Amino acid sequence: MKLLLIEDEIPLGESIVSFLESENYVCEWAQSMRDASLKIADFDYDCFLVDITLPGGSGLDLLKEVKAARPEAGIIIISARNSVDDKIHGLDTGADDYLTKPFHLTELNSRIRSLLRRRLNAGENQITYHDIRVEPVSRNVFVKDVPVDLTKKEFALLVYFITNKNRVMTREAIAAHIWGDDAGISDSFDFLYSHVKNLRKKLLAKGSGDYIQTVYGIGYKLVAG
Amino acid sequence: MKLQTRTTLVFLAATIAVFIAGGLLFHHALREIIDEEATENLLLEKQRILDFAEKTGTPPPSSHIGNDLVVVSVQQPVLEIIKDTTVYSSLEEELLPYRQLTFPVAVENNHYAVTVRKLLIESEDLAEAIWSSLLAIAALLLIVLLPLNYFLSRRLWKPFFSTLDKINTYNLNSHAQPAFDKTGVVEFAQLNASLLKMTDRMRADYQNLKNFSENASHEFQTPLAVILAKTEQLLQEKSLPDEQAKQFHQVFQSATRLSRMVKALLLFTKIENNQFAATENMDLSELLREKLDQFAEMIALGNLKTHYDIHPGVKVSIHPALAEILLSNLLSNAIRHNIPNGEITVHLSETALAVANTGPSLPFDPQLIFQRFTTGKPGADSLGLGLALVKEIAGKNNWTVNYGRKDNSHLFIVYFSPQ
Repeated sequence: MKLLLIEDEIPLGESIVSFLESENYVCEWAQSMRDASLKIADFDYDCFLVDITLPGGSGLDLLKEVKAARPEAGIIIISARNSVDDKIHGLDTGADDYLTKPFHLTELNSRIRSLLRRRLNAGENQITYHDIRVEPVSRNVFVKDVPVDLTKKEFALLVYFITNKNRVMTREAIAAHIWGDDAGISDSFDFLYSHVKNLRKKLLAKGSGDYIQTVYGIGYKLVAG
Repeated sequence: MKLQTRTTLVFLAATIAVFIAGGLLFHHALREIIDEEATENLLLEKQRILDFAEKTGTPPPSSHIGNDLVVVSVQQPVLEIIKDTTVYSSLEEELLPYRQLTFPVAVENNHYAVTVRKLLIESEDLAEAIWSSLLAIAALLLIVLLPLNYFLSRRLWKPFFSTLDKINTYNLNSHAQPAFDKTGVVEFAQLNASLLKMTDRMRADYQNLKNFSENASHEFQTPLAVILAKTEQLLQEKSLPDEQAKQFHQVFQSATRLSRMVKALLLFTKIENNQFAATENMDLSELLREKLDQFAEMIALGNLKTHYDIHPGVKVSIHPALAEILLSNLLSNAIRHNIPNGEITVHLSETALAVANTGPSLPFDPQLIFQRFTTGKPGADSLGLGLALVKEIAGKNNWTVNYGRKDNSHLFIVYFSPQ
């Protein structure tokens, strides 16, 4: 999978690139409009991560170039602009998703995976993790081929965990993923704790391994062993 | 008091003052003339009597009818005296004012004192005549001038009221200048020009402020994004000792909190700047059901007993985003500050939305509940901005929101009308 990151903030770009590379993506990085235009024309990318406010122009203009050069590629806008109008405008211009800065890297990872699954249908109509198998489209979960009945939130949680396997996922990032904007205004960590507890219980009941590890005081980690 | 009323009153007072002063002056002048006339007449009479005495060599006979002429024989010549006096009139049965002149007449060594009198006009009669005619004139004047003044002022002030009307309905969000009527009156033209200049500046300031808020959001969030990304990466380090991981997580938490705070404060600014002025006729019942659905999981996890009474089809005029925030904040507040196995009550009618939840009494003054940064648990996940936002949104929409405590429950009521 080849990604192009268009972002002018160097320290942020560095983190994103290094994170995505550790997720086994090939990640190119353009730091200006000009650089981005050249790269869009020259290389084949599966997914574009576009910052809107760039020196020398708006990332929205780049979307048109991307659409023209690679109509089947996925586009995620990453922007500090957080108004409904900006979001609607971005999605109207051809973006598939809109992520507001600051975001969690695990969230970005989850959005890219989900987008690539939908867009490219890249043989990933099921996600597996050891003895757990998830069918994202039909929303079915199996442990050793035995179906597990999960709630909507538990399902989202499991997909998020598998997507970010072997990583420390902070409570804040998970809560934001599950509840979106509402995460901030409710005591979501207690609820998160309950959800994780229930998910783990349901998986264990079907004979799965105990993969969900608590990272004390910080969050969770999905590890085998 | 209206300008119209005020000028009319001033006009009225001035008229009355002028007429009183004028009346006094008139009365005085008239009195003076009459007095002079009486004195002149007496002196004329005296001359006639002296002429008569000289010609005939006999004193003038006293008048037998009335007492206009009295002749008295005296030893010594008298001094000439003119004075005012009163004489009883049997006809009118009252004392009447007279002016009398006493003077000496000498006829063949005999001395006489002759007194002539003239009836003066009664003072009250004079005053009455003057004042009644003046009053009539004044009344006539007012009857004619007051309506004239009223209609004239209205016409003259018309451009002013038109300008006032335009300013009152002017919305800073609109990009056009207020369109004032053209006027030939210099003062009003000046007023309009000044107002135009002022609104131009205000619009520019407002636009700057709006841009600043949005830019501030961008400028704050980008460094925060860097901090979050870096700490999140550091947390992934497998060799990181637990103690340091905890510290990095605290940095991460604080940055998250700061980011949320910036977002919330930006929202306040946007609401205050009327950037959510575009209202829609929202079906609040439907939105409330939707929100309750979203919170159903949290309600179930808290094992809360629910009592919902939602009238269908309650329509209110509000910006959709604000309606959503208002409901979310009220509901999440009722869930998070609840007790295990507690209760949550939601009642929506045409006039009000009431949300109640069981919970311990407030650890702070209830008056502070809608103030920004008021939290029950310091340092907790809460920013203390949720209810302040509710209040802000209600206020912007001309709604009222009240807090009360009843039977171990917190009760919030949003009235869809100004109190």
